[in-house]
Amino acid sequence: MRKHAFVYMVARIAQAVLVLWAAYTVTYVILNLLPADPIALILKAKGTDVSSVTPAQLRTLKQSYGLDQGAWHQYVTMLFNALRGDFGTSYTYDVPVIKLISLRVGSTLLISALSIVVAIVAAFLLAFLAAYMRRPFLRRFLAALPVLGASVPSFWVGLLLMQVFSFGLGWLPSMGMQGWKSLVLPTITMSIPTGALLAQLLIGGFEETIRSQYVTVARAYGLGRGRILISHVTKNASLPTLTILGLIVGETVTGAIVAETVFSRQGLGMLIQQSVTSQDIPVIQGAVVLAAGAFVLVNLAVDVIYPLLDPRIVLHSKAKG
Amino acid sequence: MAILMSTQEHPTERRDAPAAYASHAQATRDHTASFPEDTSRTAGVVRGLLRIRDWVVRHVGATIALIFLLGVIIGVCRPSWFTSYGPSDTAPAERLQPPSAQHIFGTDRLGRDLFSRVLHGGGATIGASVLALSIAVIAGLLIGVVAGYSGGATDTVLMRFVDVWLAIPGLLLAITIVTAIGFGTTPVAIAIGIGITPAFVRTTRSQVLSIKASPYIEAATAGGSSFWRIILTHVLPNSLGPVSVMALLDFGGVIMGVATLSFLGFGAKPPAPEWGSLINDGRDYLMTAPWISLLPGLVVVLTVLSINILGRALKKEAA
Repeated sequence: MRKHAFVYMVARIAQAVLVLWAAYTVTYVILNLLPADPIALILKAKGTDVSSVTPAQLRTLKQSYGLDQGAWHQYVTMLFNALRGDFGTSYTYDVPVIKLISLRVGSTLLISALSIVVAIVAAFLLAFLAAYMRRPFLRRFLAALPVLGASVPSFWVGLLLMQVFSFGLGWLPSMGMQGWKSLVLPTITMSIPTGALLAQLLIGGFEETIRSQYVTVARAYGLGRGRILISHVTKNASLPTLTILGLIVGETVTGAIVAETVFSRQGLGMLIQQSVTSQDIPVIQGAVVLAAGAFVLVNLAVDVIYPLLDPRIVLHSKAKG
Repeated sequence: MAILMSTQEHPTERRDAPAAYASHAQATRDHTASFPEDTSRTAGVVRGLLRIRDWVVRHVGATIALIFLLGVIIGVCRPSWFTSYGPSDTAPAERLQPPSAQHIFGTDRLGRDLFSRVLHGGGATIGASVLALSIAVIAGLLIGVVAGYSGGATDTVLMRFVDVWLAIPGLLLAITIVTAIGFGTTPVAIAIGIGITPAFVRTTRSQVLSIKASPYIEAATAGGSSFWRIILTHVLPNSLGPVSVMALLDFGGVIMGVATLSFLGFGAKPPAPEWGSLINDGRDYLMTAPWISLLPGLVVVLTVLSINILGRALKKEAA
């Protein structure tokens, strides 16, 4: 049994590494082989034109960005550099990509973590209330909220919140990153799509779990409605949400791009938005690989932790093997 | 006779309303039962109308959503039926006007009528969304059918590739592609389409796997049908259903994705309206003229919400 689990872990980690490598390769192919002329992009990012540069200057420029080699050679060199954490130099800022990202990633991680916490709390509250309510009208209303949340584009929510709470009421700043107050609106903006996703899954899970036999047994023992929900339903109904944790991380990355653009926060998301606008390829490559890495790591962690939390999974795999 | 019966049927039906309310399925059966031998055309029409009324009563939200969506589709396809202003007609004297009878969505910083811009921009955004979905459905069907039906090494290689594809968040992959192929409505549509394709591949493949195991495929193989004949006449038509349901459920999300990329500035170049860029245009005037951003945004919200409500209703009906 122990040995089996160990083999499973090694295979799972190897798979994660493979996916990450492949994700790097896919983005490399998209970003470096699709554009006709990377040199033109570099020059455009620096504010000049190809025609205004002498051939000698062009050669040194190509050399300094490693573009004088063949595509295959370039790919291998960049892959090995990436393994050491070197994603090349930004076309616009002329500083190493990894330095740019590490400077900006802190504030993004903060609002991302906050928004995920808010989303989880709100989703649980909503699912719990929807299961606890006895009036069908209230129940239906609560169950409909996530559908609404999943239908509003987060950039519009951000602007609406800004209009109401910054310009209308004057309670919270509309931009910048000074003080805790500047965190509130971006966090809420980012938590709505992820919270809606979670709540939809949780409400379904609660409804299904309430119909299971052990809940009927608990009810037969005379346990109260709230007690059953807390001690029997919540844990079992919330386990499946772990499987969409990776999806939520992905949503959060794109959410950060939108929220930071709307609220003018100098984070990773805004860096991505600006880099796309100026077609700063190394920065985008670095950011995408980082996001894919986060996704792969979270999914790996979930796969490792899930059997520990839900013994039924282990029983199942033992029965099969 | 048929007309007489049908006119008599209505009052009785209404008097029975509380009873029918208890079980709508019962009500449906009653209509068909009340015309046991009458097969004339009028009775058929009446039966059809009653069935529609039943559906409407059971799905009030979905009906409102459907009517709104039809309005949006007509408005977007024929903007001139609803507004006399052009999307790029500037009127400096009427800049930044709040919504009024003359300009129901107000005007922007150049005095352009926002309602007209929303209608014209909707064409670009919805068109791009349809293109993105078509790409995802076609690529998903192709790869999914090949992977699911071939099995073995082909299946393994293709599905590992899809795993990688899924490891990059959809919108981030779309942004990456847009960086490489350039900005504009069509590139955004292509990028979003490629970004959501892996989910369609998975759905198609699982559908194909269950079809493959069914007896009629065995019969077709035993009967000597060729590989392509089986794919085209049995596998594809039968996997189309779940894939199109998924396409409808995804449509709202795709519109939001297209609008998001356009909002971030990767869509059409400035004078051309798009739902996302219209909302972005108003950002600088949010304090003084909030309608420029918020009203076009409300149209996007209502459209996406209607599609989601309708999609869920149809999914429930299918299940």
